[in-house]
Amino acid sequence: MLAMSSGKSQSDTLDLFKSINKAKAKMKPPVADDVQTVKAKTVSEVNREIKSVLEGHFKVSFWVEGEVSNFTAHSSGHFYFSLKDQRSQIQAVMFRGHNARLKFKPKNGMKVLAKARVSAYEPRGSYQLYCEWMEPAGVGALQVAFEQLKAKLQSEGLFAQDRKKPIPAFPQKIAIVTSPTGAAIRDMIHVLQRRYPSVHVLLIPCVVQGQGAAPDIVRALSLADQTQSDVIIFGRGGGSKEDLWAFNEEVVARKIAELKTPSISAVGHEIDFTIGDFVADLRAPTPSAAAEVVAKNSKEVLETVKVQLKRMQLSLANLIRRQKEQVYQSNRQLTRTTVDMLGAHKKEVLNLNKRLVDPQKNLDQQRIRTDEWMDRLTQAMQFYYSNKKHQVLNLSQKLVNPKDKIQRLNDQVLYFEKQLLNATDYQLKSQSQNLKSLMVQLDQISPLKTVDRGYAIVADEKKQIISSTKKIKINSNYKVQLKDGVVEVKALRVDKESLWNLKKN
Amino acid sequence: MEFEKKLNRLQEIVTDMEKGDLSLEDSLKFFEEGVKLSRDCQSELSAAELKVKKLIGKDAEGNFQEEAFEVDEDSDD
Repeated sequence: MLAMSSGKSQSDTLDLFKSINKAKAKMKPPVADDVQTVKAKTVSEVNREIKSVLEGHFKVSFWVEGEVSNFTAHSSGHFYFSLKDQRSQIQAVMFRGHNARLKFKPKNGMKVLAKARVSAYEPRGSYQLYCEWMEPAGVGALQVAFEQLKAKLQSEGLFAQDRKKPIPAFPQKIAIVTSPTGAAIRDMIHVLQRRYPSVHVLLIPCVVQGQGAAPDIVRALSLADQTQSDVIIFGRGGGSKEDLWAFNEEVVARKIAELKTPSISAVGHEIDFTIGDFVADLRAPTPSAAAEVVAKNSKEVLETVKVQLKRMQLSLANLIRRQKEQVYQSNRQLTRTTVDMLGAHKKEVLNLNKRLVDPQKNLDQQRIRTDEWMDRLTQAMQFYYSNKKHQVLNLSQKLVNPKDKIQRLNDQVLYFEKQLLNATDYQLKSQSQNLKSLMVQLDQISPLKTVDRGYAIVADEKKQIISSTKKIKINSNYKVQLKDGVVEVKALRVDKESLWNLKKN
Repeated sequence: MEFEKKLNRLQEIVTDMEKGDLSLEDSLKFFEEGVKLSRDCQSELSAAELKVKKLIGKDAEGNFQEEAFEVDEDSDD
């Protein structure tokens, strides 16, 4: 109905209706006769058709932006309103089931971003938006701004892991930048009280949401950085995107990046991410979680300390036991050595004692020894003199007259002369005897003596003696020596036989 | 000394003592130091009440001014 009467409908919806009108125009103009024959559509049918065309076109829901007007929250719980821009408006409905989830209450004049589908309401013949979700339009812009700032800071390297400072394991002093009245500080103090009561907490109060929150957070962070704290936790409890928005501001992000103190972001709930989370050295999902990160369970640490103390005591006890043993050992060795030494000394003393004599006794002994020596000396002197006397006697006996010696030598010469003569005579006699016997022997072995006994000697012309037939030359002349002369012969023949074996011829 | 440094030093001492090559004098010296450290650590850890202060600003000389801070249990933000 709205669409039919208004030329301000959205363009695609307008196009749709134009096409419907065209379709109608193609039909024959209605005439009275036809009224009976033509089957007229009912209004309901038309609206049903329109509805199905609309739903066929807008198959899925889409985002639409506009200003809320004519807003009514019906007693049934449903919202009825219109969305409009400068030129057009469209009716809209948001049922109770959907609007219960909204985090804000729409008001006239509020710009919203609605997720809706289009359909027709048959009873009234109106088309309208059926809204499923709605949010203030500004948040969409914030989302865009968030993504843009995130990309920008990321490209500057503000989120880089290598610029993140380590969170100290046992911080002594924690600076917390948050609202003094918020849930965040309360939660963190509870956790720290329970797990790490020895830590000092310094709250730097600041405004965490609304106008001026960002510069106040920057101021508080600057202060916190000067308090010589070991770690800074900044954040707030959960809230809407706008509530958390200050932590997405560029000034806040840059201040966090500048901090010299290690920082932990603790903003909202686990699902909430802010730019501050990316810049901080550590992101804790919630304020309580941030407190847990810095609060090592002091009971566990206490246990560790006690264990260290025990180990130390044990080591010392061991060392003392070892040292004791050593001292005991040394003591035993010392005792043994001392006893040995004492024994040795005792023996030596005994020996010395034995060797130690009464000086009077010694003197007596010396006296006796002197007497002995005197006796021995006297004896020796007597022996010496008698010995000398004897020698003198002997020598005087050995003294003789030189005349006698000459006579004796003369006799000796005579004796030797006689001996020599005798020997020469004997030598001559024996030599001539020898010669005679040799001459007899020589005579007996002479070749002439053999010839006397009937043998002959054959020689050649040069008087060389021939003893073998091998040297005989036939028809040569030879001389044969016999007992009483020489025969000249000529060799006629040589037989190898013996003379007595030759045949008579 | 910071708590963490104390704890680290304590662990260092224990490791050294357990090596067993220290003289009795050194061992006793270490033990004395270790006992003091562990006592300090224990007393720090067993503090009963969490100390929470609130920064309220700077005085004329630029020193931080703090005051005790009590949690408002009824706050709900």
